Amino acid sequence: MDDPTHDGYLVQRARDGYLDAFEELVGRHQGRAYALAVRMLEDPHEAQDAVQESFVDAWRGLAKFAGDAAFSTWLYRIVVNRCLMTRRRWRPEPVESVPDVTRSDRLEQQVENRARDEALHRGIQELPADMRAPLVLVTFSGFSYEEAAAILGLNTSTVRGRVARARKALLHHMGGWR
Amino acid sequence: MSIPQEPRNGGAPAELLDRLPCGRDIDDLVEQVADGHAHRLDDHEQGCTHCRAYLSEIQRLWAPVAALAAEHLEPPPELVGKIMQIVRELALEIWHVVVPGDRGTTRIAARVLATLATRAAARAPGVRVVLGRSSQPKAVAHTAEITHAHRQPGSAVGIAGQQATIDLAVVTNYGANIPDVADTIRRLVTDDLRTASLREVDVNIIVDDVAAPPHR
Repeated sequence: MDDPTHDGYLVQRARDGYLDAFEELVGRHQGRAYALAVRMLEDPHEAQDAVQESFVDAWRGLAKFAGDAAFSTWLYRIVVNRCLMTRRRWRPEPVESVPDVTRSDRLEQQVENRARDEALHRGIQELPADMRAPLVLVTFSGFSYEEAAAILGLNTSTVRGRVARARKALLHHMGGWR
Repeated sequence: MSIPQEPRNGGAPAELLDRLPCGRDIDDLVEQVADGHAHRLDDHEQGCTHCRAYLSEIQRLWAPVAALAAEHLEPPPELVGKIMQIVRELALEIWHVVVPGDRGTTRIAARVLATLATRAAARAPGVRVVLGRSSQPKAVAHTAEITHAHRQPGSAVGIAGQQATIDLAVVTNYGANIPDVADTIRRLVTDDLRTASLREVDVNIIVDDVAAPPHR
């Protein structure tokens, strides 16, 4: 714990009021927190807001952070909850503008890829919250089942099951099975 | 396990299996592809046409997901600065009592509260000396959780909004009833700090020594 390179040490110093220690923690975890929020919300601006609010929540909650879990686990749980709470404002989906004449194969391919990517983003968005969070943590953020379970406060087998269901739902969304 | 099906091809439900005819669980095949091990065929898969057909189909469908997962998302360069700006403002406020007013805000620094508390405690009968707070962390009484993080390093006062926790070490006169003295200190300190617009005040008292009564 006294190792200055360790998160726990920085948390201790931040709790004592040292802002530079907290800034170091923010620097360490912002990248992964941001990537997690982007996939949870599928919107970079809302993701930025969610991450910002999450770190402010973390600062406010440092006193309550018991330190029995890793700081990162606790932080990413705050980020996931923030994202789940963020009510996405309704945005009209851009209407697919498929050109009338697609003489070029490359253009056709581009249009197809774009449609496919949009289907994927929509597919992630349409997953129910209890499936989306485990899928994003494991598939996009690279957490192990065990780490994702700790972040979500669930047991590993539950997370494993939900990730499996989410993958299947996503594959189904991406074009069915046959 | 079933997944809601949309009617496809003129109303016929898409075929979705849990298991292949060979007995393999489809979830396992999906996991194999998602983990990037589609080409590591086990003994069964090597000889099974069902498995190999499904694996390549799942791979085709999963490819865009894998591509998205490999995308590197760089946080905006201003993010840390924005976060720390908010945190700095918060930190400033928790080391002060903030009293908003119509014509400006009044901030009372934590050390001012510490002085008020020390003077109030000194008025309690039975108190010989008020020591404030020891610089040895171990000599300090357990502080309320809520104000722990909201404490200026080395300060005897923790502030969170309109709540405060004060650590005071005192020397009492020999013969004084210590719990009574402590109660009186708490009352005096709380009353005085209310004039600094604090609503809730916890006073942790350490009786550090007992002194013989002064000569008459």
